[in-house]
Amino acid sequence: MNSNKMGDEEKTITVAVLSAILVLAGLLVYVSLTPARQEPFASLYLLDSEKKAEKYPRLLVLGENNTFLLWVGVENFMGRIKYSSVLVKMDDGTGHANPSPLKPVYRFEKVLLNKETWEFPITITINQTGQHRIIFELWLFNEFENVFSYSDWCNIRLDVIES
Amino acid sequence: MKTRLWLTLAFLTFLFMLVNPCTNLIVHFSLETPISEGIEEARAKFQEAYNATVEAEKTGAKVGEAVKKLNNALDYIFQAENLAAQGDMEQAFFWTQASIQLSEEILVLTQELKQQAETLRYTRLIIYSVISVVLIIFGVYAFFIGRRMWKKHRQNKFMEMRVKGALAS
Repeated sequence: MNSNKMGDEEKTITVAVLSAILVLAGLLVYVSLTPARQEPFASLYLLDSEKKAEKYPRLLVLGENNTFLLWVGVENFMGRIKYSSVLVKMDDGTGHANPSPLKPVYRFEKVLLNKETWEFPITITINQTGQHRIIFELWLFNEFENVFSYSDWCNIRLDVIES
Repeated sequence: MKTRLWLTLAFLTFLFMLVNPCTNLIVHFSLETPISEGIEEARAKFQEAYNATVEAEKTGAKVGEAVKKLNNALDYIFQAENLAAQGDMEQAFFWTQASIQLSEEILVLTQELKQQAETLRYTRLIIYSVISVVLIIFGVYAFFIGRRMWKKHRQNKFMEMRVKGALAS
């Protein structure tokens, strides 16, 4: 009778341990399969004519290489679709930026799906010597207020000389 | 006599307002609105369509098709703006109208997508609820059946032991 009691206890312990292992394994699988929550963000970046972050134009010579191509990229990781606008502004590098009060020389707009990357080329010609700055601003549409909100920016500085 | 005088006065005032460039009454009688207003209208309609798409996405709808159409509507607005800047008002007007029409299509589409997503959500909820209830019933049933079988097994074992004990003695 006593040994029977012991057998029952052993069985109970075995079942409890097995259940605990099962629950832990389930939790482990759930944790490993569930991706960590990401902080929503949208970003703007610039690439050279070969779509690399290497050979950005720095020194331009009038009549030689004063027309150049850049790739502008926008990434949407906001967790939902986003109506994005890229404004291109130009100044001599001394003005206020982030955001710049200047009027844009180019404007590009697109609605991006979540996790979508939008890359587009832009050809720029500068016909004046001196220092120049090209500012790229990313504005995202705020559907609650029905206005664009400033989000991100990057710029490129150039020296233009005569040949 | 007095009524006629008032009527004449009202008519003259109306004529004055129609001719006077300071009042914009003439605009309401014109069939063609300025192109900038047309572009503004197209942009407002586009924003409405965009907001509807955002709402549809929140309900869980797949909005890829709607986003494609939104980008087309946006392209039409840009075409209209470029043509207006070049002075081709007729073509610009055409593109604003195309954009407005597309935005209206998107509004209808998003409504449908929203309804589909809601139906899918309710269907899933019902299926998951039914599966949960079936699993619970199955679990309870398995527990009781298992317990009964275990008891029977123990009783049989006890009886076997008793018979063995009796035979040994």
